[in-house]
Amino acid sequence: MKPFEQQNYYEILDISPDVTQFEIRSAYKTALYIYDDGSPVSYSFFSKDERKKILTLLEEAFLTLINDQTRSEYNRKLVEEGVLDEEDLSGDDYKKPIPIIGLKRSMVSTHRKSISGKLKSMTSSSNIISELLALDVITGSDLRKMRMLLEVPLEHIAEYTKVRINLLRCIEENRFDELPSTFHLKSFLRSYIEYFKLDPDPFVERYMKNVNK
Amino acid sequence: MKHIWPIGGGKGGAGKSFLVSNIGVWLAMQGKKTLMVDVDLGAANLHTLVGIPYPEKCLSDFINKKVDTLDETIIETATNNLYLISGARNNLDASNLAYAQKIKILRAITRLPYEYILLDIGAGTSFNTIDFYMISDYGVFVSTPEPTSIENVYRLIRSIYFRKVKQMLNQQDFKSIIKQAGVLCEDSATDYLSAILFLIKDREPETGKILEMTLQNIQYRLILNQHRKRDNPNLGFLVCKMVKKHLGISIEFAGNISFDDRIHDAVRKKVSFISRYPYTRAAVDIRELCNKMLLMNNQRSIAGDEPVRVHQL
Repeated sequence: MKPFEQQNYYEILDISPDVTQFEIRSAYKTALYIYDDGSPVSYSFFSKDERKKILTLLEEAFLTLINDQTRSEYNRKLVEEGVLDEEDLSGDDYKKPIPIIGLKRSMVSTHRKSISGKLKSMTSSSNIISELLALDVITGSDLRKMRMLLEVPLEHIAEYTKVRINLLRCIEENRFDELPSTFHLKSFLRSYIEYFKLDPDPFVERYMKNVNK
Repeated sequence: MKHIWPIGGGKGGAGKSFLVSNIGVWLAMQGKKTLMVDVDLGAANLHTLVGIPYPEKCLSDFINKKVDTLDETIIETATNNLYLISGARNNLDASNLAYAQKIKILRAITRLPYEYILLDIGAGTSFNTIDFYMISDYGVFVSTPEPTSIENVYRLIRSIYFRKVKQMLNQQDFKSIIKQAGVLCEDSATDYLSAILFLIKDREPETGKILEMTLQNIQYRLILNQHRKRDNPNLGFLVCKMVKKHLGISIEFAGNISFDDRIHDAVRKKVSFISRYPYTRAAVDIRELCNKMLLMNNQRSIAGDEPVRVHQL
């Protein structure tokens, strides 16, 4: 056990090197409770001078670690001294609280990005898209086939297009009379195709041929 | 395997004898052959707490050579498996034992064939209390959540540390080291004991290594008695953390025992509390405490550490 003055900032605050800011703050609060002048825990344990010294050291530790920049500088110094391993540090981005508000959207948009990637790879080889366009008429089940091949759940399309999911199902299952009007049908269909980053017009044309039959 | 538990605590009235008697009763009820020895030489109370107001034999009989061996002073108690060496009719100058006599007692205690030997150690930090902690690497401290009690426990732990160091060095070296340590402390506000350890490691590395190892082998436990509702339940844990961090002594918090007015009643009636009031909060706490202490000891031996040795005196 090293004497208190020789312990590094993490040891003084009793935390591991990869904790979040919240944990640093919480550890400092606990330390203050313990080492403060009127604390029942450290009563009679230290002389006035020792206590002052410890509180100063704690404050120094806290201020260094709570600021990301000074913290990474300090970490680098520890790594140089051989006290810390490189692996103990998760780079310079410490765990931050997960943003709740942006969560849903990002899920869909990252997925959509992967679609275009897939789409690009699919269009390079023989693909279902050109097959579909070669058809004279496109039915809902064709659309469904395309969607399944690209592994897109209907929920994602519903979220992105803001169209209710059962309406999209109607389109895929050829139950177009359940839709409010032709205008709605066309507009939903366009949104659906736009999710796949394709030009909606040819698809809509062929689908309407199916409808009018 | 034999377990010797010195149970003391610095502050008077913290509940040491009370806990020794109740832990003894609990261990005996689990079927362990348990011996309680009242080594509070000038202020013996253990016999009262287990309901033996007139013990026939006592520790002084052994000291005065009225009997030849220590086990001739052992008496049975009302509880099966539980035995007592009382201090009831000790000599009036029993507290002022010669060093040789004390060593004789300590040696004899360690040779007794019992599974658990509980030592009821008196208050204060005189040699009469500290020396009984030298007997093994294990030790229990009983304190209350009050600052007066906590201060006395800290003082006791430091005194034990100091005595262990003194026993390792010869008189001259010891004197010069503590003188230097005093100077070091004034200059840099270091902890006195850390300064001593540092100086020893510097001047006599061999001894320093042995000392460090001795300190690392120590396993202490802290019990906070008379815990009232308003007290912070985390206090014991934080106190142990403090000792571990600044003195480097391994001490674990064993539990809080609730304050209960009925304990006063049980003492007045001269009966053991957990037998008479087994369903009170305090009795539950005591049973939980005993279980936890046994668990902690088992974990330690399973982890591969040497079982707590009894020092060759």
